[in-house]
Amino acid sequence: MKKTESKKKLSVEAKGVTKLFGDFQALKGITANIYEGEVVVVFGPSGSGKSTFIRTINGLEEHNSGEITVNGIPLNDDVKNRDEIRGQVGMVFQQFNLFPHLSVLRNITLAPQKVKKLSKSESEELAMSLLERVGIPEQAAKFPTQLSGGQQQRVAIARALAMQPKIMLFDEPTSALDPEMIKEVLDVMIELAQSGMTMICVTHEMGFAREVADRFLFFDEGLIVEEGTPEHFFKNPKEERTKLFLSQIL
Amino acid sequence: MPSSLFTQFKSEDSIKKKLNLLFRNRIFRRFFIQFVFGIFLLLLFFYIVDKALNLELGFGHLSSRAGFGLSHTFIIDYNSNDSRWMSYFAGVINTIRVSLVGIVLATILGIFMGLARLSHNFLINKIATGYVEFIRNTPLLVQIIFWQLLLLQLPHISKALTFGGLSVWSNKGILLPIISSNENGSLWTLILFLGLIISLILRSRLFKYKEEHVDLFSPNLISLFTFVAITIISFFALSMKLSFNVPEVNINQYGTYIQSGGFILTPQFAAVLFALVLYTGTFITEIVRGSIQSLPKGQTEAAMALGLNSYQRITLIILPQALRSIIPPLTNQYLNLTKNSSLSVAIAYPDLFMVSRTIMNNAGHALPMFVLILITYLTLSLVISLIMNIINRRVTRIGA
Amino acid sequence: MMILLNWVRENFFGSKLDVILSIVGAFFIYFILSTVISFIINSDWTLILVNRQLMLTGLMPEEEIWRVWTIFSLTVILMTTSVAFWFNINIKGSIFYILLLLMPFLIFTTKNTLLYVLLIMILSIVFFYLGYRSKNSGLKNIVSRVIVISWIILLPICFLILNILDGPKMTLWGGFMINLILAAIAIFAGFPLGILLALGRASSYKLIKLISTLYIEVIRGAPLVAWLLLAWFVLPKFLPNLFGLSDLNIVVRAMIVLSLFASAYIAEVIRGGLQSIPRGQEEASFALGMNSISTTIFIVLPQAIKIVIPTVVSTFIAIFKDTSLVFILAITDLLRIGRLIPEQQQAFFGKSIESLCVVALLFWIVSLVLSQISRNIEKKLNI
Repeated sequence: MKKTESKKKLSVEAKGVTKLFGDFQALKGITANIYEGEVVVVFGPSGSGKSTFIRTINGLEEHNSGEITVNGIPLNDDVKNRDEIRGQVGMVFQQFNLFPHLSVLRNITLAPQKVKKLSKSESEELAMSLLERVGIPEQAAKFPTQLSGGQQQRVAIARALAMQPKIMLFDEPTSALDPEMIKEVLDVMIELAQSGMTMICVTHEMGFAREVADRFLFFDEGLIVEEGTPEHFFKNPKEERTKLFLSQIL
Repeated sequence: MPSSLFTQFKSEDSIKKKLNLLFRNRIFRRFFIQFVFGIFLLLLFFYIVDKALNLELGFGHLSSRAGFGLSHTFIIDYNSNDSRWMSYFAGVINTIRVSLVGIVLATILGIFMGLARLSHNFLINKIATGYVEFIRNTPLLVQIIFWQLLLLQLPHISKALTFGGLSVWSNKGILLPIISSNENGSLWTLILFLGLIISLILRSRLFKYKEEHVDLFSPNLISLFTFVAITIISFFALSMKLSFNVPEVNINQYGTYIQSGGFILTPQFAAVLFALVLYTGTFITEIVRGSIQSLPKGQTEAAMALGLNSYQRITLIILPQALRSIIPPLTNQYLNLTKNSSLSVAIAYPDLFMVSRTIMNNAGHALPMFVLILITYLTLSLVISLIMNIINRRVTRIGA
Repeated sequence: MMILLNWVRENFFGSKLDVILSIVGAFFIYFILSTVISFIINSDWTLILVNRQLMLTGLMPEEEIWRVWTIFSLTVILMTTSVAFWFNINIKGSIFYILLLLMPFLIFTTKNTLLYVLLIMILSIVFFYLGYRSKNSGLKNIVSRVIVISWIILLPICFLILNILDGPKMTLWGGFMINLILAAIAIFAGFPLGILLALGRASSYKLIKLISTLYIEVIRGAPLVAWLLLAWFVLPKFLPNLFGLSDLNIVVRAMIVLSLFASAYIAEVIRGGLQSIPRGQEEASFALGMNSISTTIFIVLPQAIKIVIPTVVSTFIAIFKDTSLVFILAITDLLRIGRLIPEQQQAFFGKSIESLCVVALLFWIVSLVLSQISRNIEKKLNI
């Protein structure tokens, strides 16, 4: 689904973002704009900073310099700003990070109850509808360790959606899955994209990317080397590094 | 983080708004929380110092005459006319003495029992299990007192049990034969110890040298030769005489029985030692068992497939690998043993704690004494930890 | 028959070494058993009968003993209910627990209290049955909550019962009872304090981390007897003059020191648990918008504590054994009484070892029960 950029609101605005880990500079000055409803896929070799970048968007990593603005809220030292941003941004991790000591249902209802102050019945109703949306309502009473990887990741998506975010971040959501379970998670992500959610995905799944992405961002060594539409990348990538990387994974 | 603390303020904002913004700042919050905590800490500190100044402080009393004797003195000669520092020092030596021997014996016992716990032999396995379950669940203090009572049940010295003229057991203690020397004995022991260290350093240097240059003959042999040479040369240089000292019991002119010769294990020392060794041994047993069990089963299988017998399998394959996970918890047990030696106060073995308590009873100054005790135990712990750390690094070095 | 023979052969005579070991082991067991059995048979155990009350409750006056019996009954009933409700016990386990509970009763009942004891036993069996049945019924949640709340208020209620209506002075408390009470207080107070210290040591606030680490390392640096002695000599001088705090009796001071001591060790155990929680758990929680405090309370702590339960329980057992060290404060706990009986009572002069054996046995039983419970909890959590 293609959307035009011109009349859309700016969801995430990053200007000159840098991040240093000790001596190693993971981000050397990232400038990118992501618009409402866009699905942006971020890819690149490992260590290129792509995970670090999306983790700066919701404050899991503090950027050292540059500006990040999410839905008009600046991400800075102000705790209130940061919490508001986190309430509007949902994240799905490579390792799922479900809470093993809580049931699937409780995993999803915990944050809405504690942060958004929803009542028990409200949150559970929300949770069940989300579990249906991701296709596994019958697993509500089970515990994460009793589920398969694909099911766990879907629960993780439902958990993130329970906070009713405006933007969803995906950090290599299928990299830790066995091949036969990748499809079920990608299907959920595709449905999410088609429903109009603003998504930023770090992934290696090029088939998925080609189908739903509006834009690609290619990262290498802490910088955005090239960005553009999927066609642009697959038909005639400009930079040498892009060509090299694409030749390795396609 | 980009936006600085105060630039977010606009001059027209009210004080209330500025304060609000300040408290929402992440960096300010961290500072503020620690600041409040720091204030509270400072208040507590002043309160404590104020109260402490009312107490007797200072260590001057330790220079005065002790006025009490000690039943056990080792290495140094101490009598009641020495200063209290000397008495404390004697106590420290007693603590080190029982702790060092205890650590060595407990480790040996622990390793054997740990292996026994894993044995296929039903009897040995059950004996080891029974040992652990019984001893571990009884308080150490009870065990110390128990051993003391047991040892006091030994017959009076007039009817002491003798074993082939080599050992005498009575309620005054257990006498064992020992190799004794003339007055240069301690010096020679010291030289031997230094010689051992020198030889070991030489050995590691030679090994390094061997890697870079042409084959040397075995560094082990060279360093062994060095050690033996140092031993023999110093022996003659100091005109040492060694003799095998056998304990004897005689009656002196007043009709009292005197023990002479040999090496005496008093009931107090033996009780503390036995209890510490058995008690700490149970924990070491479980540590050894745990780390051997945590090794992948494939190791045992491979060793057996290679045709190694039980002894070879254990000493060459299992134990070296188990050592990696044994050392940290083992260090902990050693520290516990050293601190537990303070329980000898219950049966009047004058370790450093008991001596401190006597001094406290005689001269007050409880707080400084306590600080002294704390520093001493911390130092002992530090020394043990450092040594174990070196061993740990050697053991966990890849390819050591 | 063949199977038995084979098993014997494999386990006793597997190899040449095995044969030697088996023979040595057999001799060793024979030696130990014969010594122990002959000792048991030949000793005069009347000292227990005569001194039962002394050993259990110390110098408590006769007319106040009803308090101890009340506390004891409440605890026993609560324990049997909990065990029946939470543990999966089969017949073998049930019999084990029942026998274990019977033993102290058998040793310590007198003719006067026989009726009382029978009543308690019947009540325990009734509650055991109730607990067992309610495990699968619809009342499960309510019963569960009642039991947990009962445990929490048990300790305060015990104190209430001991002190109400002009109870005996604390310094008269003694015997096994005081070992149990001291251990209970040290655990109840030390556990939350230990959690705070562990969180403090793991915290990113440098000052808090420093103080927590300092506290833990200093407490662990000295032996418990030294700290207890501090309670005797030094603590009174540091207590403020308000509320008569500077006149605290020695038992309360011992409780304070034991709690502080326990908290340092418990903190280290919990810290181990905290360190083993993957960072991703915290990150997921933050990403969902939860703040630090909620994350710690709902996500990190529950998982950390669950992981270290076996080690924590063995720390509890160690604390219980350490209560015997209060002899240094002249508190008449079980061990002190056990040592004094042969010295002060003519009839039992010289019977020190028998006396000590009873003391050891009591400690041993409690430690054993606690470690059984720990193993049970471990098994339950791994399901």
